[in-house]
Amino acid sequence: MSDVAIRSAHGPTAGAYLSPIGLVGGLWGKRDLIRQFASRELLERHRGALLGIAWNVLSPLLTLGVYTFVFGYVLNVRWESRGGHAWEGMDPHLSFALTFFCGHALAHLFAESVSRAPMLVASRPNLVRKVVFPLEILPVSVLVAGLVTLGISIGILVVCILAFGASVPATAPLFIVPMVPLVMLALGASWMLASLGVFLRDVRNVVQVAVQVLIFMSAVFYPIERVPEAWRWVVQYNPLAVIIENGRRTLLWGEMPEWDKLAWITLLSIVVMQGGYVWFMRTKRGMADVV
Amino acid sequence: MLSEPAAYTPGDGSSATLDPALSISVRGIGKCYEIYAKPIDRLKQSLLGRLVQSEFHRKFWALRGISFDVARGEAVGIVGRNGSGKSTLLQIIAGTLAPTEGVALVRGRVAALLELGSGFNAQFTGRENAYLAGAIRGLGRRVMDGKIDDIASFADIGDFFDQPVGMYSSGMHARLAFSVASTVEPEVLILDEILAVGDASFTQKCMSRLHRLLDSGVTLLFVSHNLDSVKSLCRRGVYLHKGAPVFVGPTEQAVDRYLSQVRETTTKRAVEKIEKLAEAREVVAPVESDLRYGTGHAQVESVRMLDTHGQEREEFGYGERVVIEASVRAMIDLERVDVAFTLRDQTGVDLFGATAVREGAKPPRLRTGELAVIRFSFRNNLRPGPYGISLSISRRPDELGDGLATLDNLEGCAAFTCIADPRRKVRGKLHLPVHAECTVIRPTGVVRKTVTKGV
Repeated sequence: MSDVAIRSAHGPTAGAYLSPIGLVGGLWGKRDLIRQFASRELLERHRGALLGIAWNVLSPLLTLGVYTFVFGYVLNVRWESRGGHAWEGMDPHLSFALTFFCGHALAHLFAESVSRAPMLVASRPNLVRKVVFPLEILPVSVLVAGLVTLGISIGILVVCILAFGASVPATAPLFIVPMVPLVMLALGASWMLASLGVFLRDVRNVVQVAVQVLIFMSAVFYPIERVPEAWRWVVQYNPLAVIIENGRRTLLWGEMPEWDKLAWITLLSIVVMQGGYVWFMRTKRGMADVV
Repeated sequence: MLSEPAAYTPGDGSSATLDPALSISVRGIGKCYEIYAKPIDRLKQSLLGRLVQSEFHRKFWALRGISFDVARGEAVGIVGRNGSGKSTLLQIIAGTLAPTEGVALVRGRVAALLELGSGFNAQFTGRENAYLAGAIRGLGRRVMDGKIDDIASFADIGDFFDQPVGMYSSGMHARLAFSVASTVEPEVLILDEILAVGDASFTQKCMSRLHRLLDSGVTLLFVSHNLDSVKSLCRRGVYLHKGAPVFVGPTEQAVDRYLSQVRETTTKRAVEKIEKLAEAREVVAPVESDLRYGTGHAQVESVRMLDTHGQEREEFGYGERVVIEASVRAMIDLERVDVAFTLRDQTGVDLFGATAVREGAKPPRLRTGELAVIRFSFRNNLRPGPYGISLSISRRPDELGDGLATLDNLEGCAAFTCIADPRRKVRGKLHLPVHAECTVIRPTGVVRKTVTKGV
């Protein structure tokens, strides 16, 4: 017998959305839809461009080039040599470039998800009003597309490391450890912002600026050590900065992740993700009234 | 079958259950549009509404007190004027709009075509949208692979199927939308005015597919301003007026009620203009009918079905002449009176009709108390089955187009049965005079024989 759907004034209470297992299970059931929207996301971004999908590889390369020039050559930012012997003898500009690029790729995943979020639902009145659509998958699709882009960037990074004669450390597989809280933070924040963006049109402007500030405070362009002692806490307690730092430790420097810090951040990110999800699902029913 | 829904007790609805024989149960549904000055107020209402006493909006009830059940495999039509709440009701049942009060239970996979646009993504091609629509309803890629050709061929939009939907005309949009919705194995199909934009051949295709879906047990909720299609598809109807359910029952009656209200509004305006007519009369002679309305300034006193010898008859054979005789009493002095009849088949479709004036039997000026007897007769070329007659006495508009009024209107005031004639099969609903000709040509091109049958 088929399921019976109940349409009533009050949706399920917040409690119905509180289980992380329910959250993951629900998304897994909609993986087909998520995949279709994510692939659309990747294809659409460069549709009509002369080089097409090639831009998915070209644009991170260009970013790498521009930032290397500005920060590496013009501003002369350096990371102290932490790559052990593997990085010895590498041009400091190059090692800056790779270190920067690793952090940038991670920050970009978060920034892209979060800055797209406020318009995700607000710009699709069709999906809100005309069909029964699981709107909660929209931020997930953007994130999945972002993960593909991140994968491409990491691929480029690894190729560069090898091409310049260095080697990928044995700790590289542990790169996944800081990725887990990053994904959950991005999702939670996206859900929250996707909902807010529907009701509050100002959100998108605020988010643009906030994301910029966050990136600058996440030690993407400079080593944490360069931050004055008095202000270092801002970066040290910034989950994104810790995640980026640990991404570099595992993928570039051959160091173990900072387990204790990451454990706390992972806990926090579970709360953020679940909170964002509950918020989104609770406010979803009102969206049709204002979109 | 349409039964009275179980008593509804307000609550969160989460404990509500649905009888296995039912597909949809609407219980005390109401939708109050909260008019918000700013979108932020809507958010406040969502989050604080139940905690804080103050309200962040003005109220407008678009729908209230709607209750009905729909059995599995049943088709229910919803009629009413624009703004009567039809679309709101469908949206609530489809789940795109949350009701303010009450609860609606819906069993199984729902495919809804609500207004135009119907949830397609403009940048996606028709094909991609079809897959997407399948995925939304839980049909995976592989299942959709098996259906995609069927969707494309039914939509019949050629190469546009692989073009972004944004480039479609409204007709193509409707074709694709209907094609997808009817192919994704819905258990409940909700259609809102979707047939209005298609061309005639597509509408035909849709209707036959809808009949097929209904035969296979799909439950249908149908809104259309094409009342004939409502009547031919749906056995039960809901008539909404200003958000309230005026009538729930057989479609024919729902449609008649709706039409009567539409006509009454027009009549009321006309009557108000002319004081002479403003005084309404009591019905003097009750005539049995399903529904009677009008100003009562002229009244039908009797309706009879007769044969050519003036004998009352209930059954007519094929080819016999059928006579409808109506006696109309004028309650005041009346000018420009006309009498019309409409013949309706058992599916509720109005087949044909005529008015005395148009057929050349214009009634003269009637004086108070005079009785006018009007006879219509026609050759019975109908398919065997029961038929109903509706009569209407109206005052025609004057040269300026003013004064149109329904004086007395009787739906279903007489009936007869057309009996089957094995020698004469009727294709379709009725037979009209047809000229037939057959020509046989030799291989040499010389005409050998022509057989002609005149009208």
